[in-house]
Amino acid sequence: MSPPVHPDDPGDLRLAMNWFHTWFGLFLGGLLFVIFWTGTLAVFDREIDRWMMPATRLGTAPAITADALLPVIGDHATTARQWRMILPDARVPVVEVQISPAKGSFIRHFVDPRTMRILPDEGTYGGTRFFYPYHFRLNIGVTGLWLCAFAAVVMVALCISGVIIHRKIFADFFTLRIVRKPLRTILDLHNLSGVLALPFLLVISFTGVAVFTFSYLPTAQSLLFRGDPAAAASGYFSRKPAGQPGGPLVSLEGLRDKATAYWNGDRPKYVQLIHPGDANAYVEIRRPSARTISYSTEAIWFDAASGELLATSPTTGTRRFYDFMYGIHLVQFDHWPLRWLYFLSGLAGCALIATGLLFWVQSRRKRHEKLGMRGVHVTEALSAAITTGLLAATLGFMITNRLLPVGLEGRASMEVWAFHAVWVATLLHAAIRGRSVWHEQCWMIAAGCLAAVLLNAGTTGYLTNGNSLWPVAGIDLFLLSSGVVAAWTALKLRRKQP
Amino acid sequence: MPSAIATLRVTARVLASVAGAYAVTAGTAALIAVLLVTGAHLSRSDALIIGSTVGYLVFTFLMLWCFAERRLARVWLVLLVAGICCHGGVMLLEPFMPLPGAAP
Repeated sequence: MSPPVHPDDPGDLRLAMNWFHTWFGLFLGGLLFVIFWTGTLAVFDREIDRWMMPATRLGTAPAITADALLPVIGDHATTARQWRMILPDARVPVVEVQISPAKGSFIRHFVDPRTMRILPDEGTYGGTRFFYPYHFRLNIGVTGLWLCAFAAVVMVALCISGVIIHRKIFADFFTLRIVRKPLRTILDLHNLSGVLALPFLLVISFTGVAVFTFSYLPTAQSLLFRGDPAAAASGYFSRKPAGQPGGPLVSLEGLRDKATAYWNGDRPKYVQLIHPGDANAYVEIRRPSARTISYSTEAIWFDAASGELLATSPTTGTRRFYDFMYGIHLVQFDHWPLRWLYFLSGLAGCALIATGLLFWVQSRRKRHEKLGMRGVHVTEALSAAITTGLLAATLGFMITNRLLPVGLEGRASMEVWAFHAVWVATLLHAAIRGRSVWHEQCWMIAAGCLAAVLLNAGTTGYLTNGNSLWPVAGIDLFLLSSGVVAAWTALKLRRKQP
Repeated sequence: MPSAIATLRVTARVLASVAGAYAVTAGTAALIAVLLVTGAHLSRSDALIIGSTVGYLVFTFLMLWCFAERRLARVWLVLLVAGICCHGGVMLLEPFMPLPGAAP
């Protein structure tokens, strides 16, 4: 079935949707692949952090008190503008301390909870500060936010139009024609990954844009809060510093006890002090959500000197609905089978987008060659750079992390440079090599996977340090199996080519 | 049809499905939020959550509808009328929103 040449041409709904699906899919497919791939990685962002920050590969953290961390914060505890501590949990074995000092730049430390010593700076953004923000803002600020949100809306529309185009959705569900006709196989793979992961794709794309309620529809926001700026904080408590010194800090552990009792749940791990040392200093504790699907946006506020309860976030039905959408998208709950399911569904989404791009290229190759059009060549090069090239760039990021010495000035940005340099190199390679790009970049990926695993084993010796084996070993095992798949694909592609 | 006009018409349709649909979405989200604050006395942040969530659904369906409807003139006409209606409705209703402190 060929789509109408022009959306004005007569035809039924399916043909109209086919036009939309073909061209919006083509032009936003690349961006969507980037978002899906980095989002899939972000499912295991804490584990990637451990892989890239060997000094934080510690065993399960002992229970520690918030008060015991005060010496680590030092003078900042009473002089900073604010500071916060994020205590260890099942996935993160270290304490994270963040300080906004009175003078100077923002400070971030990881602390070993057993020795209460500050760990040396690892000089990397890791998963939580590179792949995760890349997923929703491409690390280019506000423009990236808008691009990603638009792509998410288009993704929902692509899913719906895909279902409308698909004539025999249930019959084709069981169809995978691998033999003889590569074009048919690509389309079947596209359909299979799309149909299997459809609920996931719809929910994840919609919640992806919907959780940014306050950003993308500024008309409603400015209108509502113009008359009532205080309401913009949506129940968040705040007060200005008094400018006079305040009393000594109350026991933070006591406040954690109170918060735990108030929510009747787990012990909170997020404790923040605002205007420390001031008479108006106060403590914010956020509700933990490791055991609920919802990612709670609730908090509780105490006076820092008296420990008196100042405020709690209002909980309305709407707010709980929002927290539920947020939680479904953010996957901050502790549930390993579900986490893996998110990861695999994310990979299915990547496969869906990649096969969609490939189908566009393959189904037009002969016609374009006959007519002397360049569309197929340009699209093929771009598609390869965005799919296989992005995987190679990800490996380049991880390999650079294992090669650069810790303590090097500007190490974290060098890793980001390496990521983008490899990515650009794959685009050049794709532009030069034409159709051979696919199997050659598959070999690059296979080699990159092996190199990353070997470098990790060689530079960190994690096998002898059984403390935090699974997060790191899991990534290595995944890299090894990806390497095998990449090599197998490369061999297959090589054989097919004339 | 000459190809220059055909290209222009495709551009106009894509523009409608992106910019036109967004303008209507922004108006719809604002209208729903203002209606909820004025009529149902919801808090402003709750009204914004509901308005935006419905808004994103509206955006998706409008985007697809811009291609499902074959007549380009009708696509733009409907978007224009809908846009004027929802933005106009918001402007008319805004003064009736409860003042800060008066409503929860």
